Amino acid sequence: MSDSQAKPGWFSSYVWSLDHKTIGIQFLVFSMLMLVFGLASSLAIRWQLAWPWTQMPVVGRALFPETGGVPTPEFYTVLFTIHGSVMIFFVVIPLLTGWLGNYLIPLMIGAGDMAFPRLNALSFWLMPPAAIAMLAGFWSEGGAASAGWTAYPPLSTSVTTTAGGAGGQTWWLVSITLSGIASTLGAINYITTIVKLRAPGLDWFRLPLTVWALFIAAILQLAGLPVLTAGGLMQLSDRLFETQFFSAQGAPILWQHLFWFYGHPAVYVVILPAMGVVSDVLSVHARKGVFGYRPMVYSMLAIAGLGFLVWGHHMFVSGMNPSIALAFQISTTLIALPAGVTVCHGLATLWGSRIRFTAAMLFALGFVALFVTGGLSGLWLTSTPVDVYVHDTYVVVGHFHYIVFGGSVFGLFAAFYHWFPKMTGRMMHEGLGKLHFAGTFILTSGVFLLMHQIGIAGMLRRTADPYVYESFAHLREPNLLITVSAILLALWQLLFFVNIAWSLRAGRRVGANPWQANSLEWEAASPPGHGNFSRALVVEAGPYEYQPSRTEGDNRPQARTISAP
Amino acid sequence: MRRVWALLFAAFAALVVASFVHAPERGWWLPEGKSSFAPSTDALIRTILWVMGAFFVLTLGLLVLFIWRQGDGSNAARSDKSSDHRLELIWTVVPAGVLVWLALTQMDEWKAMKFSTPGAGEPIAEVWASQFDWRMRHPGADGRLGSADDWESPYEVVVPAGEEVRLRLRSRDVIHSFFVPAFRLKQDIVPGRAISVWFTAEAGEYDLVCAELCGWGHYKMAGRVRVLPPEEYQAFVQRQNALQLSGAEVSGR
Amino acid sequence: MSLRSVLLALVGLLPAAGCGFQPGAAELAWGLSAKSREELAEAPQAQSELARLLEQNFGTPADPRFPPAPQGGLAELKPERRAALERDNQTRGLAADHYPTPLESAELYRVHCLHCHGAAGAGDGPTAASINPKPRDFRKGIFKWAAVKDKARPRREDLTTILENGVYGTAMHSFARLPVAEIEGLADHVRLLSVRGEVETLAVNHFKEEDELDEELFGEHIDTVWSRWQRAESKFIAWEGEIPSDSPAMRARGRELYLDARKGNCVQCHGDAGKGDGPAAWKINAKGKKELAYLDDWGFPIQPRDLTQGIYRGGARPIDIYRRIYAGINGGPMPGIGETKNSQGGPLVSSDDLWALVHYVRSIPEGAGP
Repeated sequence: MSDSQAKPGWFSSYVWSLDHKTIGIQFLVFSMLMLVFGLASSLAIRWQLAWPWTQMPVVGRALFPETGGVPTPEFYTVLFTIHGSVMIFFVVIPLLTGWLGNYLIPLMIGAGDMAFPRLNALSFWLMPPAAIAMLAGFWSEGGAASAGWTAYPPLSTSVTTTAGGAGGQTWWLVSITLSGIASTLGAINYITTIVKLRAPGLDWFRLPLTVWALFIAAILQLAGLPVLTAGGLMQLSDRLFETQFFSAQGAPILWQHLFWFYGHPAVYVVILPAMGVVSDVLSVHARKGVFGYRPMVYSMLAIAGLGFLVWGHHMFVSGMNPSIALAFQISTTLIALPAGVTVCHGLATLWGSRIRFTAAMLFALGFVALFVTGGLSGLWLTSTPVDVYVHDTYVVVGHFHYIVFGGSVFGLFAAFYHWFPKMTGRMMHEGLGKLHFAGTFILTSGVFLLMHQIGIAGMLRRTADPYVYESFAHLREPNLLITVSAILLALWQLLFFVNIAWSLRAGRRVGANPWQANSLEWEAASPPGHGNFSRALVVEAGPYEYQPSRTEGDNRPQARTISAP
Repeated sequence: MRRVWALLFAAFAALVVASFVHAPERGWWLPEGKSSFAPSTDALIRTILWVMGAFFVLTLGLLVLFIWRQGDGSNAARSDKSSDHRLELIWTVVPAGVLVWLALTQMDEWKAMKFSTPGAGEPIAEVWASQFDWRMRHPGADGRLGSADDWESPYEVVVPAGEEVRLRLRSRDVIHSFFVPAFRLKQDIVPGRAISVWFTAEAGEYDLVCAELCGWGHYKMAGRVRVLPPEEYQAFVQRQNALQLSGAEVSGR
Repeated sequence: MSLRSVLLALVGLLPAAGCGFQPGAAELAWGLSAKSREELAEAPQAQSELARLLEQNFGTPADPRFPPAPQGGLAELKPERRAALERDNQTRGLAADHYPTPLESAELYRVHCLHCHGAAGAGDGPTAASINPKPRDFRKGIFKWAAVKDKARPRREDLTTILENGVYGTAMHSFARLPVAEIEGLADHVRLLSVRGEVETLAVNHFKEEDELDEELFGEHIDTVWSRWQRAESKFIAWEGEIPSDSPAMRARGRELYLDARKGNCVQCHGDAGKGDGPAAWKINAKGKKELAYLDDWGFPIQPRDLTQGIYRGGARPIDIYRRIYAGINGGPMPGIGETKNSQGGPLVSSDDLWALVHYVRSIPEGAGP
């Protein structure tokens, strides 16, 4: 708390640190490292779809000596398996819950740290072993897991049906289970912290929407993950002890129920925090309160609640009873409603506001545009007869990438640009940030937009060479466009990393509250010291009061500091 | 600057709309529908596309407008409305109405697809999926599947045009999926289960595609549905039954 | 380096990335087989001479050549097949006699076959590691599923039939989606690799025995191997007219032969119920564990077919099973009984009895299947 306290050593400052901020940043760094794998595998996928069976640049010769540098079909299955698993379990979930949750929750609720700091450190330190297990697959017999991130049995449980079936698939299960345990521990911590450690006066309905969203996401994790973990252990048992849970003699479709019971709410785990962040960023940089705060909270709660009732829409063609499909169709259609309402509130927030075009604000606006696009294309997937046609086509790929990349990742960028001054005490380069936004925004559609059309044309996901079918042979041209956009999009992200590197050293130094925002984290120093707040806080207002007044700026901070003069 | 950003967002919206307008011209759109399911499925896809389009244009239009208008960054007074019940009611009830209408209109289609089980008896053929092959079993002269006079055809299933055709889907190993894009028909094939599909198709040859990841060779698990006019179909079946009892070489090409 | 120059460099890179890009070609080589290199380890000069002769006669993956049929196999097609090819070409809007060049065939092989069968056809492509049964090594010239007797080389039709029908129950799936011309081109290339492999082995063996290796001799080796392939047509197992029809009596007779130790004796390997669990097929190894008794010609343990599954690799028609029983399976332990003589010099098993066996075998899956 105070400077007189003994300075912790290097190990306990940066490695086994119990400080929520350090752990949050550990999650951030870890996920960015994993992002390299996820990104590289997606570019390799795009390479194959644009120039099938040609020598892969840079890595081709080393990886595929027997084929003269050309990727093999089994490696392609590894690529999309690793891309999906890494991006979901090691990039977006850890960023949105691990980084944002750890870094922001205590700061935004005026607490000194998390409720369970040791549990918190453990939840992070389970992640590197989980990641190592995922990558260990590459060195096991037969190579890494290759049954898709959904790992449908019996493909995934048999040791002979995939190349990675020999060992990689077991490592994959170990990895997913470890990361699931990590997320569960984190969720317990977030929930407890928000329930128990709010600053005096910080009622539930004075919480910033980011905190609400993280709270709801944590509940989703806590309720959903045990199901996935149980399913994973059953798969492990099928693989190692020859049980028959999911074999042809058992119930292959049972896994799909268990997987999607978590797998679909997981989408909301990655979208709700982004939604919360975007609401806050919109409010701060538009200098206006969030429109309809309570309806927003209720909408997010409705999304979470309905989120557990819609998993069956992943299984319309699985052979599930068609009557059940009708029920899932209705619940899925209904979930579009609260999602749409949040967008309306976002727009209404802008109405009558005074927008400052910061990089954070632009990414938040980009989130609105892209989330709307991806959300609307989801309408096709709610419809059972249409889903029979578009299931497992690129429509699905386009749709969820708009949500996860256009939605979650844009939310993450907004969060990064918004809270970077808080994390480092320095501003990011705004011009560079805006340039980063403009290119990323347009190229995102370059990559994911045409996927809808080629999906409607019938092109399937997870095929190494769709052009073997006469029906799809004419789709190479749009795929080429997508691939070129993807390469450009990846290169464009260099701007982001250049910006980080530059800003860390030369960014303008800032005080506690560079954005003139209201919520509690801006009361702490930038970066906040150990224990976060140097003075006790009493909360007197909600986080969304912006109006020009005669005396100072246009904002009204949430807290009154007790010992202030 | 606000104009630049407003234009960027407008450009994005234009890009999205243009892609859907131009894609059909380039052939990046629905393949020609050739089964009785196709017209209603396609109509539904278009209806939903129009709904999406309307919401998209409305939302993006407002977004662009607000960016254009509200982006002066000045310190002028804000709208202090933090809620508006009438507005909230409108943007809840109107989409809800549209969504419920959408959900209800497609029920008939689903019913036609899934609840109109055709008559009992043997299916026209059994479609066996295995890594990474389609193998069709036809009942042979005795009209019964599972007897020694069944005949097998690799790759291709031959069915009559213009009448309801039922196929029984079986898998030998992992989950596969029977997908004929031209029929708008897709059904997973689950090992340990026999799932039937039915359709009424026009004469022609259509790609049969495996739509569920089934291993490294998933991408080349290609098959074909050949739909013959009924007389030709009868002749074909006669010929195949006879071929079982001869030593003649056949390539089927 | 200023921020501005980094930006300018980035912006400059982008258009360059998109325009007129051509990906790199696969870098492949056939080279000598591992076995040849081992056998000629003491004679490096012979190694390089052999490599040179192979390249001179058969070219490289980027410039393949096949001395016996330099233009490919178009001229070898039988009339019906030729007609099918022309029909198929025309429906695709191609010239009626369109046919892939040797290089185009090699490219088709590279895309469709190489990842399992390997560049030189040794069955050692990268995918082979995750496949069981293993992909065929073409270089021995032995093909299991052919309608020929006396362990002859396959006919052209045998290769294209496998390409179009696949080998059911293995990773060799049907390639019937490919145009007829491409199927024929692939058959050409498989034959090229097979003949090349046989010639290589012949040359190595000859060198080991006679210490000779030169251009003329190499040409003779090619002729020797090619004459084996040319004999295939005369080894075809034909069946004219109607097949004796299936009946309970036939099946009963077939069952007798299946069990008869002097005639069919199928039970020894395929087992009483046909599950492939007969006593001769398995042995107890030194560790007391049950393991397969036979290896095939490629050195892999081989299991007798489980006849209850109704999965027949070489085709499921009665005539296919007939040919299997008649001639056995080249490359494996399954013997043929079609031309075995009895003590009086007559056929051991009459053709009616062979058909009885066929009908019995094909009846096994009835009621046994899933």
